[in-house]
Amino acid sequence: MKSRPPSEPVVQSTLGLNALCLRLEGAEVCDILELGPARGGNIEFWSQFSGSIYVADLHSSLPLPPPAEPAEGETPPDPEWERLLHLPEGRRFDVILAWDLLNYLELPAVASLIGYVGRFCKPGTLLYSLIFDLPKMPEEITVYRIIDATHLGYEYGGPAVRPCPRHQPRALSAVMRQFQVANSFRLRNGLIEFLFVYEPV
Amino acid sequence: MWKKSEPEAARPQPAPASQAQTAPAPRNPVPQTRERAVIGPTIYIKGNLTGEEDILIEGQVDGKIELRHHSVTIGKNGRIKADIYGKVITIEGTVEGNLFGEEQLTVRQTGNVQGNIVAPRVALEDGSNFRGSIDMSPKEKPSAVVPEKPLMGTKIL
Repeated sequence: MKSRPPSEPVVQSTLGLNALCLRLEGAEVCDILELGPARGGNIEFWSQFSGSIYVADLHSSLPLPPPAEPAEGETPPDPEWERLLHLPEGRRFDVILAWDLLNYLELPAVASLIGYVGRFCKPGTLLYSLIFDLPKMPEEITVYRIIDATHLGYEYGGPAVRPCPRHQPRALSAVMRQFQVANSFRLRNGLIEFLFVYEPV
Repeated sequence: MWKKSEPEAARPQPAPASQAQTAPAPRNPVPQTRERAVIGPTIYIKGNLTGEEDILIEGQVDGKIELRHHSVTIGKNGRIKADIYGKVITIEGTVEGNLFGEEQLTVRQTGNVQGNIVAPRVALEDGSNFRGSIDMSPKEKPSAVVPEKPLMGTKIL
């Protein structure tokens, strides 16, 4: 993938975001958890829905500390997430915007994060994620600007690249047990958009 | 401790052409000064801050800032640990606390906010840092949302 400086965002089509918006149509209230940084345009976009957006800006905490060792095959939530995310207890989000964050975490860390975030979900909570399916990916996490429901601006942090973990859908599903894939879209730029839905067992 | 900054209305402002034609200037115009109090960078206030004028804070405030009918600006040097109530709130410095804007709230590029925002209009400039919750009021549905076709598996775009 060709990287660009932050001042030159590359506009790409998105079907996953549109699918997410369509699912939100008609919702009376929509509480959104933004795991990325605050962007005025994105918040303006989400303001079409009544509710609130909680900006956790996990991007600024990267690289993340290693998660706790799981015991007996389980993946207990790492208490570190509480410090990093400051999520308000008792809150239940309708949407989680993970963007491409999961590419920058090893699978145990993905499991740990999802386990923690799951505490703030309810049946039907949607999680939007972009997964790289390329040998290389940007060294720095990308900031995504919502142009409209069908277009995203990719704001790369720099030209440097790093090996891509290429998380496979089956591997992701294994560590995100309470989330099922609702939609997936393979984009021409080598990313796969996933829309997960929270379905606790 | 308190300084008065240059009144905004006293600065030369270009008058709109239409206004110049229909409303000639009075012989002895009384400038409508909108004075603004300034808390300098070396000032530290612990407690509640209230008043009936606009304010620029370049210092440190721990407590509560309540100027519901006036503009509150936290300058680049401002360090606030307080809930802020104002008509128009502008953040250029660092704030740890909840922000309640009656009309508008803006976090400038240099702004760093950790707290919740409640305001009818919120503007976050690129480069600003924000962590917390923003209440959103409903607006028109987007015209850009296109109907989704039923999809099975992965689709190549």
